[in-house]
Amino acid sequence: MKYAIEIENLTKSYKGFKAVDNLSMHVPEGKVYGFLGMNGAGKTTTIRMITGLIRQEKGRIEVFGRNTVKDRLWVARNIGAIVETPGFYENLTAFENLAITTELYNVEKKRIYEVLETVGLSNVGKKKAKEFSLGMKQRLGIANAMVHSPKMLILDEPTNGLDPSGIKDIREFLRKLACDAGITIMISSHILSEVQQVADFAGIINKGSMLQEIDIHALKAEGQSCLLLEVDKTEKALEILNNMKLNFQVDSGKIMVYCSRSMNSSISRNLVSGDIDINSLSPVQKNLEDLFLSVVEEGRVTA
Amino acid sequence: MIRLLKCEFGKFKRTYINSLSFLGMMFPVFLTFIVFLIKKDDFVKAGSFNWDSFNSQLTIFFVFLLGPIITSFIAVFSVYYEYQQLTIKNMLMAPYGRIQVILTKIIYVSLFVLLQYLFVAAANILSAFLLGFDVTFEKAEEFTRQLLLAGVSTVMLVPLMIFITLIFKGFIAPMVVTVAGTLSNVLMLNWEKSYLSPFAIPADISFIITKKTEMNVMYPIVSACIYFTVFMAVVLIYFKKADQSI
Repeated sequence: MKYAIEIENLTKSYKGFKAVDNLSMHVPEGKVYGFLGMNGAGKTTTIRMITGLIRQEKGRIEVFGRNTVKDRLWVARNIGAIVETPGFYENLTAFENLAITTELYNVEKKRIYEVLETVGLSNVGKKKAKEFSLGMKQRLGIANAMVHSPKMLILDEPTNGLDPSGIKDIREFLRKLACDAGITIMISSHILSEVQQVADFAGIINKGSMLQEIDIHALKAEGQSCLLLEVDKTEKALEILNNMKLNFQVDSGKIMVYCSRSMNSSISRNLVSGDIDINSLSPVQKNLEDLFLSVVEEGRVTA
Repeated sequence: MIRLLKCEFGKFKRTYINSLSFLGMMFPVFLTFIVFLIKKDDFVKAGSFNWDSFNSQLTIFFVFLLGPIITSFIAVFSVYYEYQQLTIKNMLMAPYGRIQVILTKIIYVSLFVLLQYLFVAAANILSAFLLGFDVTFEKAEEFTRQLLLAGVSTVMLVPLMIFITLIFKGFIAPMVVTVAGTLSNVLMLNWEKSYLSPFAIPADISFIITKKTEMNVMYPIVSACIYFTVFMAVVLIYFKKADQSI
């Protein structure tokens, strides 16, 4: 697999506190990568190092195979980013703000119309940035990051402060961008459901270290986190599950069995052969939230 | 670099800094003009209703006080505004070296300040015409040269002010330094080594040109060159090495 971003052993400390600690990360090319972590986990510090806002103490960052320190200018030309809140000259209109960026990146002005259209701001190009709502500013931030047609977009909490419909719009827009234009997108977020809906891959960071990188499609395909059972003879069913050495718990008459999808058929066979009527058998889908919490929890225990 | 410079001119469009600094720079000319107009008889009686006297008043008010303050104000604002609007990140993520970014800012502020000094020089000549002074080409050239040289030596403050703003990432600290530095000019008015203060150098040069002091012109010039080189080196190194955590 080709990687748009490859990070090895990245470290950054502030006054003795390790904000990023020996972090390694692999963002596949042309995919959407969710960078997950709780507040203060080190997401923004990592993004700042990728974009060259701050210097790494140790480690190596490569963007499309180019070192971010040695080839900084090449990397800068091929990355578009919003780091935390997007910045604009509030005295200028949306168009004028983007014109500054086109000048910086030596891009033709007509590209401004295209990106404003893409982010749905074509009718407010003449409005001053200070009159924009938070959602509009986020869109303008994305337009600003895209105006030089980068190969990769890095968006730090792009849905911060947006209402649900704004979040949905951004999500659909990013998905479309990745599918249609083949741009690699890296989104940092602490909203897991949002990332699960838009990302192909995810990396979970905690206390500055990468705990796990996941293929979200594989996670979905892998299926269930547990099997939910409703039977007529609960006590007898529990005895059978115990004999099968499975972990389970009972809640309001329902049995939650923690097992993989491959165990479902043998569970149902054993229950039926034990003369138990199964009223309902439903696999519960594994989601990113469960995985995140278990990985972070596991990380804590290991630490 | 030219692209960066064009961006600098573009981004301050319609900001209050442009109009406010222009009005501030013009204020001493305007005020001196009004005073000469109203008190014309008194000046005539004292034998000082002439361009030399007008230019002396202007020099004290403008070169000595308001010029350095407004120059610092423009320099501080040019950096502070980027932090305030969070646009410094956009500049640093663009495909330019950090030294290019900060150097362009220094050049932009310097050009903007010199342009304003040029306007003041033009307003000085216009005022002389309007007040009916004896305007000769030699005098116009001398006073214009005096104001522009004062402008050039004031520009030496730009890297210093930008450096202080970068360190404090705010407006107050550098402006306190500016006001303190400018006010100390009053104390240095009769000090023979006033060229040791970077804020006093523009006035020293003006006074030497208009022969109001017998100070050797090399002292303030050498002093200005040393200060400019040191401030420039410090700001370039600092901006290149420091993390921008905004």
